[in-house]
Amino acid sequence: MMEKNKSYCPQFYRLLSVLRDTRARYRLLFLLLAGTFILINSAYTQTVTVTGRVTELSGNPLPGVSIVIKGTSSTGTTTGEEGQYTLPGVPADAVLSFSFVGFKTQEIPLNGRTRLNVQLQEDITALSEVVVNAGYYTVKDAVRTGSIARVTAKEIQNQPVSNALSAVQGRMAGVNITQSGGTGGGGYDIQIRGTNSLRRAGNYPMYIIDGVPVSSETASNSLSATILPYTEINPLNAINPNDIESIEILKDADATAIYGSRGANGVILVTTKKGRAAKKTALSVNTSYGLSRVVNKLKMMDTPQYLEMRRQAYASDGITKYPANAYDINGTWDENRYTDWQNELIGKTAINSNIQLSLSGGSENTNFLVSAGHNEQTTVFAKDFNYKTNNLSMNLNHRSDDNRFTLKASGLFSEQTNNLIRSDVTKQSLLLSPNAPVLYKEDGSLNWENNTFANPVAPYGNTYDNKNRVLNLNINLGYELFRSFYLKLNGGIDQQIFEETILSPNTTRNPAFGSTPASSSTTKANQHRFTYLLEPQVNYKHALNGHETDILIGGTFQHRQSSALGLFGMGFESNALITNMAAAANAWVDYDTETGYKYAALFGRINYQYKNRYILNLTGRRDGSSRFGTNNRFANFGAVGAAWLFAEEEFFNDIRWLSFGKLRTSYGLTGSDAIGDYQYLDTYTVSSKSYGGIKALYPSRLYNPYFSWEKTTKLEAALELGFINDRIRLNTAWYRNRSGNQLVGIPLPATTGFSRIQANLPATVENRGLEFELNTNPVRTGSFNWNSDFNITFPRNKLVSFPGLEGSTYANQYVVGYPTSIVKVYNYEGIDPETGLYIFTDYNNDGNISSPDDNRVIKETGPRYYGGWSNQLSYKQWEFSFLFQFVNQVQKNYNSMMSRPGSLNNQPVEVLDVWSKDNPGGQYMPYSSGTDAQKNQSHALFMNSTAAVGDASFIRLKNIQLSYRLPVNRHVRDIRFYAQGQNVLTFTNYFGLDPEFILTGFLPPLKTWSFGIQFNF
Amino acid sequence: MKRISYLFIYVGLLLFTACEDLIDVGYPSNQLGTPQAFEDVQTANAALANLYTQVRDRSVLTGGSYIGTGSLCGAYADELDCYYYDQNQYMDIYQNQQQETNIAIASVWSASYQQIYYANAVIYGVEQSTTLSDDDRNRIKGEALLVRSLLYFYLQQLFGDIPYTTSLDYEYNRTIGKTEASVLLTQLEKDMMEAVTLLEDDYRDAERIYPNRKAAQLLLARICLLREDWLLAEQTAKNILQSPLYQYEADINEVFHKSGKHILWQLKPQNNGDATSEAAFYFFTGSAPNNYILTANLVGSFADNDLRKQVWIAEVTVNGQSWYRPYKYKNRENNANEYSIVFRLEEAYFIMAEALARQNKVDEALPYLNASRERAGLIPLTSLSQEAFIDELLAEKRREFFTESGHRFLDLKRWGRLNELSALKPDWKDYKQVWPIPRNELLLNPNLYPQNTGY
Repeated sequence: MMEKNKSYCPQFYRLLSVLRDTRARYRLLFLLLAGTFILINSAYTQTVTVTGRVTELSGNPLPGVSIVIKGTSSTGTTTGEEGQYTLPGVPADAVLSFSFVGFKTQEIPLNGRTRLNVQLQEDITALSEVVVNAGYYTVKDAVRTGSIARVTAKEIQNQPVSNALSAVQGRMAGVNITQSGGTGGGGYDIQIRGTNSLRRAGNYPMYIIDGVPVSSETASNSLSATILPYTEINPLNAINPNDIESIEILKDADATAIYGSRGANGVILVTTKKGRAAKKTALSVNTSYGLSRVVNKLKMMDTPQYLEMRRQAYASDGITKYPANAYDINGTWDENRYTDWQNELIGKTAINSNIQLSLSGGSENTNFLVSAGHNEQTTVFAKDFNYKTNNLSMNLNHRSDDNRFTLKASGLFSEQTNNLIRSDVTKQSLLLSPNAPVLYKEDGSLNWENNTFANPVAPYGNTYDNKNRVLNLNINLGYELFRSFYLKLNGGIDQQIFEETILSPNTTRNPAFGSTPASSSTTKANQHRFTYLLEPQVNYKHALNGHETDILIGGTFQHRQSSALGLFGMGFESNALITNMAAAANAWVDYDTETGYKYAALFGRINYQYKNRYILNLTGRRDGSSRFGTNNRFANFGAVGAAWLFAEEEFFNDIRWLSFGKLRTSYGLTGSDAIGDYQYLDTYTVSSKSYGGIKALYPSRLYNPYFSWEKTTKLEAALELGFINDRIRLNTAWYRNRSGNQLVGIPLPATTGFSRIQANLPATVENRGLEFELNTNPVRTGSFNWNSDFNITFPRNKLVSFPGLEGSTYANQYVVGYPTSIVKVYNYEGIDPETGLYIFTDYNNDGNISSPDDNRVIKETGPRYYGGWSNQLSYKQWEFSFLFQFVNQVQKNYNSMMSRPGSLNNQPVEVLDVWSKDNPGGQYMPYSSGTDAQKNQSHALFMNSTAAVGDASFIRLKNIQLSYRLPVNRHVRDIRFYAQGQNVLTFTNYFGLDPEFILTGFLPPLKTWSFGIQFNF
Repeated sequence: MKRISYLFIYVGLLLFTACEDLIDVGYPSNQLGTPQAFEDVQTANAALANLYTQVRDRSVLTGGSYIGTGSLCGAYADELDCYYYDQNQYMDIYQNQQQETNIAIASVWSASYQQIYYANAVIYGVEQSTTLSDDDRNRIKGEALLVRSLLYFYLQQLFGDIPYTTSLDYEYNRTIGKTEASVLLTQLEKDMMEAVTLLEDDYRDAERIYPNRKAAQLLLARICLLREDWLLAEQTAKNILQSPLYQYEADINEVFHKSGKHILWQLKPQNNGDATSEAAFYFFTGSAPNNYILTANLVGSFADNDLRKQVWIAEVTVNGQSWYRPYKYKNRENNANEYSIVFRLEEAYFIMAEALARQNKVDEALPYLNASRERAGLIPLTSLSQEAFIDELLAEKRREFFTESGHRFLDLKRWGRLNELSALKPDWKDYKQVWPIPRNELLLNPNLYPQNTGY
């Protein structure tokens, strides 16, 4: 063949051979010259071996810094894990060049020294060089067209939190995170640019850990409802926050449309830490110990105040003989007792201990990181409940010598065990009479005070336990098939085994009821989820004359198989056997289900850049989901994004203070299929109940195979500016998202047999807002550095349309033109000087205050604006940082959950300000014993009035930390000591326990102080 | 470049063409397609069993449930005192202060209509089935008709004019209007006539946990009383009394035991050994009541030597104060001999007595009234005027059927004597004969307007 070619084109081959010869000759010449040069050098200048250490200004060692002799082609060397280096054969008068990504390159003349320690300064202008993970691709921050918020390990490491989301609260614009409670292992409410869906579960963002999506649908069923708000267990509980390298949150259409149907509520990308090239394998041991308490206690009445309230209550109702069940004042209970029940029930100091070991190392081609962690935290409840997590994670990266083949593999395993009380006692700690009896008798047994006392710690025996094992594996292969043409395969497995147990021994109930272990019961729920993911992709990059094109085409196939088994057992010979279902006299299977979810998609991205100044980004996705009827399974999503780096233009060259300027905008469509599986089927479901030994089958739902995807269009415009060499960066973004086709059950009258039918409701919800991020670096001297970042978001949620709202059960919940988070309440006017009852505005003048005609006042709950201000200061080996989080919002206050003043429940001291003829300015109506229906009604209305909604804004010193790094010796590189505080200070006018909550009546987030030591070997 | 294009095309084709199959998941393991559910008798029975579990656990017929007419109507009338610290939906009903937003009333409405839907689904399913035998189809349809009619009966008695549907179509059911009470009762009578022809006398289960033809006849007789068809009521009741299947229970201690020959239909708890819902619901001891206690008026209506007071009522004394709770069902653990009775023969006696008395055959009616008295150890009544007899009938039935599915309320209502409650209940008003239609239902289906008078 070749011979044949030769004969066809002899000139070409002749030329080639000449060229070959020429090349060989040049090579020879080069070698000779180089050799001569070296010879000359060694002959005329003395060479030395230079050693030293390269560190950051803070003193942190910098591994991987490349060191070359200026003006030579010598390969030089790189620093090791401790920042140290040794470079032999250096001319004594040479100039060494130290360079490292993200740092300013330094050139230092040796001047005869053999030891040279260097401090590298971080290159602030290099911020735009930061590479941001956008999921299927990465993009340089400077040229990205989408809206992506990012936090890195630097911000979140070592914080005394078990979920990284606690550590990122307040750090990102447009991302509002609320922790659901102070009990470990629970959930978070994450709103990325507001709530799009009318369903709570329709607002979960998508979570992707190292390329593998993890289900955000909560695994817990109703078993945890009374201890974990909304039974939510956040999927990021499975990751040790210290294993996280970065968290990127994709917000706008440009960033999320490539996730199509699953991107509507934003995407949270978690990237775990990787190993890096180092001569010496690095070992790090990190341990910390923390103490947590409730952030705040309500000041409640003491015994004399309380008893006075109770007596007045009966007196005002004209009752002189206290009823039999008024134990607190009828002489049954000791009237001289006083207990601070908040102290007793939620006043314990929770202990939080953490240890983590990590080992990393590798060569230029291959590196690894292995990490193991154990975390244990107890609760503030007065018993040894605890939440334990064990984590094991691995990362392996490999690159072939020719750089054509890459492999990234990561694995995360976590085991979380949560042992909790079944029902939160926070509410009880506020309600119990201060003179209620002692909890335990002298012999240590529970005190029921002759059956007059519902002992609040009796339910401590009624436990909720869960064990959650999560395995997340990811393999990412890449191969450069042709020049700039890459094949990629992303594959992953996500497996979850989740077991829950509720134990309900008869001893938790009053013994007067004479129950025996025959009424003890055990409930178990086991869930198993297995998901695999395959994503083949091709990527082509092309650059020519300032035109750069990057094309990505890929497919996704995901299959999730879930099985769930629920068991209930009742009747045990002894409570010692209660954990064993086989010992139950009666045990039955509540449910046993196997379900599948399949998802397939084709996606693509075309990115075009001209002169690194004009950027166009097109993304699209065609999605198919098994969650819809056969005619509605597929849908198309996509977005267009564009950016203009205007500061690069010539006419901006003279404006020195403007170092960066970018305008960007995007528009696109995303969606949601988060409605659960099989909702379109016409079926009967196996019931947990049976009759006469026959297991029942019930109609699953009203049959509607026609519903389809929920859709969200997103529009954004943003301006990014950098001043004074980017020492000041200001990003401003405006967005408007509109969600329609709401997949919410359409309410039906009961005569249809069901309360709703699954269908697309043509209601539109709009979220719009403004986000500002200001990053500054006010001080930057040799040893002192100060960064100060501020962000603020002004969100606005609005129900744009809702056909048929007036006649629906949602009429009391939503109003068109208002946010979806409103409450409709009665207008509280004051207290009637004649009757002492509360007065409310009778809008329909029917003489009767009732819903829905009189609860017309619309109160917008939820944030008006929120944000954070963080500062990092470093001086030599010291680092200090703090973060203030602030939220301006209105929420339901304690009046909304208050029991009627005068009832057998304690009250906050505010209730002492009771109205009477002598105190006409009193805030609360006269105490009442509960026998007066009018007063009861008046109080019930008060709980749903404007008086029960109030300011819940707060500023919180979310995190404060101080650390000191002590360099040691060759064997122990350094030791870092750190102290951290979480939720340390809260400034608020909120009337209630804490303004951060998603459901009232649960334990609010805790205040934590922790201390830690990290050894780096 | 060609190769690249091929690759692109290939990947594209692969994903596009295979998509349909890629996302097909079939059925979940715990669900069965609706037509398949009625292909064989086992699964059809399972769909019917669902109806019984619902009726047993959370319906107007559930004796120990917060939406059962046993407690709600008992407290609404004069059988029970409601005992809660704070005002709630049950207190409102007890105090006759219920409003259209009362959530207990809304639950009664929605649970009943859900169960009616289940019954309709079973009826439709067996009618459509081509594989079930005629016997099975008739039996299942008959049982479902009986349960559905019983639910409609209660809804009508509680709410007055109500929607009547036999359809599964939600588009039709969501806009359905109300059916006038007399028309509805005529329809119910027709439905029960059909159930009587569909059902057999023989019990499907020896423990009488499924209704038979006689149970259907008992409901028919109840409906006849409402329709003032005294003769048909008498004939139907007599038909039951003459059946060799039944025998009056002479021992007061055995009345609520499951093996009695006086039982027409009873509901079996889910598991062997489970308590009846009634046994747990009314229980309290050593402390103040939890929810309901018997009214002093009712307890006082028993003669001291009335065995029912001794056997069916328990006294709880704490700190010198006494309360009385219903104690018909006793086993709270390891229950071996009690099921919840829906229909018992005594009711047929009372229907007989009532139908005869209405026809002014008081002497003929007396033995049917005295049966209860004699068993309770009381002296039988002798010749009474019609008026006096009716008073005795009502009082006797109150003592016999207290807290059983709202008999007392239904009786007072049927006799037009609910207004007598105002002597005991300060907030009683004439318009409170019926409850308000739940507000949400009116909002969702404006064809249900107007709201019942007074609300």
